Amino acid sequence: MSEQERIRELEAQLAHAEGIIQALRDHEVDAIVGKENVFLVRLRQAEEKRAMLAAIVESSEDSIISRDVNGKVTSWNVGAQRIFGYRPDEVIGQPITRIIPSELQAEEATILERVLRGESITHYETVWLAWDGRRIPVSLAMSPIRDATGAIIGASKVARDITERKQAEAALRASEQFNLALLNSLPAHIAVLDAEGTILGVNEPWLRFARENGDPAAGRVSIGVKYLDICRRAMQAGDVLAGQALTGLEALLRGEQNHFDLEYPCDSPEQARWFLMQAVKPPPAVGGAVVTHFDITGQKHADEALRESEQRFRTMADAMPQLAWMGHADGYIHWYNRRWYEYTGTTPQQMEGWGWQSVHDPLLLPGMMERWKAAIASAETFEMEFPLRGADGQYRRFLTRSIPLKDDQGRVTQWFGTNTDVEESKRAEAALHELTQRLTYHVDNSPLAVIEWGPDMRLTRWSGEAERIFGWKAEEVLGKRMEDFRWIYTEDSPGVLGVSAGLQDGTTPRRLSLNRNYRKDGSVAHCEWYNSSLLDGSGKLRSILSLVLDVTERMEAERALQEAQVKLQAHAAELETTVARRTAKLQETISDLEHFSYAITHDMRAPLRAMQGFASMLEEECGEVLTPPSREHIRRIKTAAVRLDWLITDSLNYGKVVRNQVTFEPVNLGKLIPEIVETYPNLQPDEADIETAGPLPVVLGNPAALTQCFSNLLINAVKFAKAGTKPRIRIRAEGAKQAAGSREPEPARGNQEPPLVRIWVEDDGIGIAQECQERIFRLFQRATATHEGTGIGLAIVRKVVERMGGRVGVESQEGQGSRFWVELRAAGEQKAESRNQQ
Amino acid sequence: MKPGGKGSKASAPAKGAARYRLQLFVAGNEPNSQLARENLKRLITGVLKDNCQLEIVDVLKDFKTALALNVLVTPALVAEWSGTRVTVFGTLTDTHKVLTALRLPSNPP
Repeated sequence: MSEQERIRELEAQLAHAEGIIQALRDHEVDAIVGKENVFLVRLRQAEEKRAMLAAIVESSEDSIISRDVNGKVTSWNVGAQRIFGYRPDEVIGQPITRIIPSELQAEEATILERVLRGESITHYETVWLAWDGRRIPVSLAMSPIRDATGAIIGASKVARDITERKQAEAALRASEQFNLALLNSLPAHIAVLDAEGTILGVNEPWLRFARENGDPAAGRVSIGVKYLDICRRAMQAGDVLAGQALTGLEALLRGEQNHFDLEYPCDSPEQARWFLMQAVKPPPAVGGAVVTHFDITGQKHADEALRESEQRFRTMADAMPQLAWMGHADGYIHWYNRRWYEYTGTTPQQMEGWGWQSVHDPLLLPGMMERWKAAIASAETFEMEFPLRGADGQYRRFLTRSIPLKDDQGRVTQWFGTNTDVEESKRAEAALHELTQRLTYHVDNSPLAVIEWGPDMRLTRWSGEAERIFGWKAEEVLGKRMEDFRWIYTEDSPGVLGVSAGLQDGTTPRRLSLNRNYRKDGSVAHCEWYNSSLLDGSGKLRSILSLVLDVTERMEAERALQEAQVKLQAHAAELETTVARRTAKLQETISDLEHFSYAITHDMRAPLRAMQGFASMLEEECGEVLTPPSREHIRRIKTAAVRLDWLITDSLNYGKVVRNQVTFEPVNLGKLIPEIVETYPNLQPDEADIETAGPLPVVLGNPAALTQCFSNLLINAVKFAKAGTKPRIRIRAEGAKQAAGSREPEPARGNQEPPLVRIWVEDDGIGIAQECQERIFRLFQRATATHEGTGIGLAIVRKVVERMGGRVGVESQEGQGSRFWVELRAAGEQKAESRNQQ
Repeated sequence: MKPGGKGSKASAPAKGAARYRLQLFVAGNEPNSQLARENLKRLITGVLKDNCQLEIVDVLKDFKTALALNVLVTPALVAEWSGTRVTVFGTLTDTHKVLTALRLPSNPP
């Protein structure tokens, strides 16, 4: 420190000291600050004060007493008497300790010691005793008493009864705690400002908000800070709202307005937030302002949600097919949806309030008004059907419903109403009614009985036909269960119950059943039941409908028919037995006859040989002596004998064919026919030209019978050649189907029949007259007398072919050759097998 | 000038803040102290036009602060600004004396 500075310092100290001295001299000092204590200075007007003091002492409410250094009471004022109950004469000269509780006497002594050293004690709170032992809390001030020389001769004690104050303090503390707790529990952030805008106090949420929003120590906005400065700085940083807050607060603090509100956004990093700042003037005694910030984010969201909800409602209301409207509690309608204006063709101006009456039927309006006003008065839901006039001038019926919206107290705040067009549904209802009537008529007149059961299996429908079939009237059975009256035939009951169960649980929702029922008169009816059950979505039974056909007559007819059939069968069996018996007898007879004819035929040969032999012998022995006519007779005898021999041989063959059992096997005609040709001399190439065209099939037949058949056909072909020509014979085969053009119609054959093959034997001989073609296959029938023959050959052919399941025929014209055909079964491997087994 | 330096720093957080930092030392509600309070309040609302920051110290409760500032009697006003500190003792009834101490112009009575 420089000399100059040191001098300035000393001058300052001097001025300082002079200031103190001046103040003391001017009696403008009331305390001297010591190194360890403060001494109050009351120098001025000491004398006046003493007199005043005496008066004050006497009139004081406080207890004012004094004591000497030895602890004896030296003065006792009225206040002391009032508080402690002792009269002055009772305590003056007595030890002061009698009013001090024993446990506090040591403390009293210590304090007294300080006072006697010259110290003053103020606001010392302790407890003294009243005369009756009550403990009285007192606030104590003690000062030394000095004599004129300044020596301490005692102590004065001013004691104030602070019982009430203690109580009040306790109450105040509690109240303050309560208020503080209250303030801290408020969601609002609250600060109290003094008249200069300095923050005097804040609640906990205020601090918490500061800490959570970038001011961890909450130092920027806590007590002692000038709130207006904060606003001002924010405004200077460009925050317009802070400027508004500043203006508002300043106006409030100047007393120009009592209230100031400001809404402002203050987003946190996580979400958008809004706050409402509110400043109010506190009671005049306090001054300044109370500033609160409310977080109104929730309210904002709610407002937003409300707006959206209302928007949604409008959109929905405009989209709905009904006409809709809203009215005030008194029925004044203030809003209609778009559909209303579209339908009525009106404008909002026309409709506002009670304008809707113009679209009502004037005749019906008074009645409607009466009910609508009654609904408004009673605040009850209104429902009514009436016509409304559309834009086209036509009235349509609407069902109108109006619901009162009520507040918490049950007061109507709004009416919300809709008008639903029921014109179509009314028509549909009428149509439905008519349809139902028609159905009921048909059900009642159906030739089938119509019976219906409800969900509880009680009868709900019993048509006229049901009455006719069963005899019970509808009123006798409706509402009953089927087991409630004697209706189900006892024996059929289990089956009926099974059907019923299946219908009820839906396992067999459609069923045809046949069972017997009792009629009312106890007789039995056979009935066919066509049942169907209707279940609802959850599988619960709604109804079972049965159509019943009385089949009693049919059943009886069937039974009669069955009986007749049984009788017929018995009769047929009897007949069959008779036939079999007679057939056996007939066969026996035939067999006898056949044996007889065979025997005759066989036995006839012996005399024939004799005739032939003797005729030959006669010719040889007497040839020369006989006249030519006689020789001619002998020749005729011989010729006749030869013919008779043929006849006998053929008859024997025919008999064999007829009599013998024929077995079938595959026979290769390609082998069989050449063998036949080789066997007969007149079939040799020098006698006839026999040509086989193409391969011949394997057929199913008997080799011997087939040999007989084809040899007869070939020999006939050679025999009936034109005179003087060498016969030409052609043998060929074709599928039977290619023979469809034959004169005889094809008999119907089963699919299992093996296919037929047709074998043709064609010659260029004399041919057969058309009229003879039928009979040549019969026994002893001949087409011509010009050739030798017995009339048995072709009969044998037909017989054997037919026995092998085939047919035979001829195509011919006189003089143009004959074409015989034979149809035989082709032998496939399997077919041969099955045929053999027969 | 330790206290002054500290004071000016603390009391001037922004433009337009109080120029003076005032400390009024009083002794409870003693008559002179009471008088000093009233006089100072009049000065603040009047001549000083809020251009100050005031702290009232009751020496009966806290006399250490007074001792530190060498305030030996009360009432006393300690004013600090721009590193300067002056102390005015007494009831502050003499406005001229106070304003002179604060280096403010005053019309002599």
